[in-house]
Amino acid sequence: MSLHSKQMVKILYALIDTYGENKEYLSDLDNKIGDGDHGINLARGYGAIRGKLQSATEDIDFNKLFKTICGMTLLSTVGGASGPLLGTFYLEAAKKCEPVFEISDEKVVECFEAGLAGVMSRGKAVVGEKTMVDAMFPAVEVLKDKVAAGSSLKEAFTAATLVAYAAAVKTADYAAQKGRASYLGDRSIGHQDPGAVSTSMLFDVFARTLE
Amino acid sequence: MKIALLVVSHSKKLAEGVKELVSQMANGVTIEAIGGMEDGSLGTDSVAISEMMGVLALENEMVLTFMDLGSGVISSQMALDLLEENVRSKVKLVDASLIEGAFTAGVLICAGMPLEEIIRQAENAGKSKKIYA
Repeated sequence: MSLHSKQMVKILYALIDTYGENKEYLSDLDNKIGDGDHGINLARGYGAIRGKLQSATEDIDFNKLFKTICGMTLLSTVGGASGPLLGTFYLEAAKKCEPVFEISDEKVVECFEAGLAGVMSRGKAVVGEKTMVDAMFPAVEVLKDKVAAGSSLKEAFTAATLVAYAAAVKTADYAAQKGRASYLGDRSIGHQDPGAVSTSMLFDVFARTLE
Repeated sequence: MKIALLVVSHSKKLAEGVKELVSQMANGVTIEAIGGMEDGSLGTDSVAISEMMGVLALENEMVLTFMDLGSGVISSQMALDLLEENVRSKVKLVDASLIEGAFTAGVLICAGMPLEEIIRQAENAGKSKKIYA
C-alpha cells in the first residue's frame, strides 16, 4: 500500500484545522510550565502552511511538500523552539523523498524515523525529558512495527496515536529537563508537556484522515 | 582578519539595543541584529538568521554570533545548517552571555586581538564580577 501526495495534502489541511481548534488548549497547557505560546505558535506556523498549499497551482510532490511547504515555512513562522524542531522533522523527512507523488507505507515509516532522529539531534533530547520526543519516539516505534507486520497505514497510525497520547499523559509524572519548564524543576510535575500533546495530535490526524 | 558580529534575540528591541550598545563601544565594528518574527511577535526565525549570516559572511572572514536564550540557540544552530558548507565555516555560535559577550567581542575586535582570544574572552565575559565590595 502507499500514500498519495493528495492524501498527504488532505492530512495537512486536517492538521491545520486541528491545531487551529486546539490553539487555546495547547497554549493553556503551555501556560502552566512554558511561555504560554505553544498553541499560538503552532496555529501561526500551520496557518502559513495553509497559505502555501492554497497558492499552489498544481499537485505538489512529496519532496516539495515536506521541504518547502512544511519545513521551511515552519522555520520562518513558528518562533519558539518548536519552529526549528518541527522544521527539522519535515526537512529530514523530505531528504527521504524524491520529487514523487506517491510513496510506499515503508517510506512513510522511513520519513517518520528520519524526522524523529532529526528532532532528537536538533533538540539534543532523549526520551524522559518531558518533550515532544516522549510522545514521538514510542509512536514511531509502533508505526514501524505495525507496518512491518502488514497493518494498513490507518491501523498503524491508530495504534501509534494511542501510544502517543498515553506517553503525553505520562509526561505529567516527571520534571522537565528542557526549555523554560526546566527552570521550574519539580514544580513542572503534574503538568503535561504541550509539545508531547501536540505531537500526539499529529499521529491522531493521520489516523483519522487516512481511509 | 575581518570579523563581524551578529546578535540574535527573541526580541527585535533587545537585539537592536545590544547592537546599539556595542556599536557605541566598538566603533567601526560590523554588527547586525536579528530579533523577533516578521509579524512583530517575539521569537527567532531560523531563515532570517541564516540569511543575515550569509550576508555578513560575504564581506567578512568570520561572523561571531551571540544568542539570548533557549530557542534563540536552537534557531541559530538550525540557521547554520541551512548554510552552504563554505559559508558555514565562516560562522561561529559563541557560547556566551548575550550583552557581555557581544560587548567584549566588539571591544577586542577593535583592539585587533586574534580570533581565538576574542572567542575565549567573550565566552568568559558573563562570568566576571560586576559588583565589587
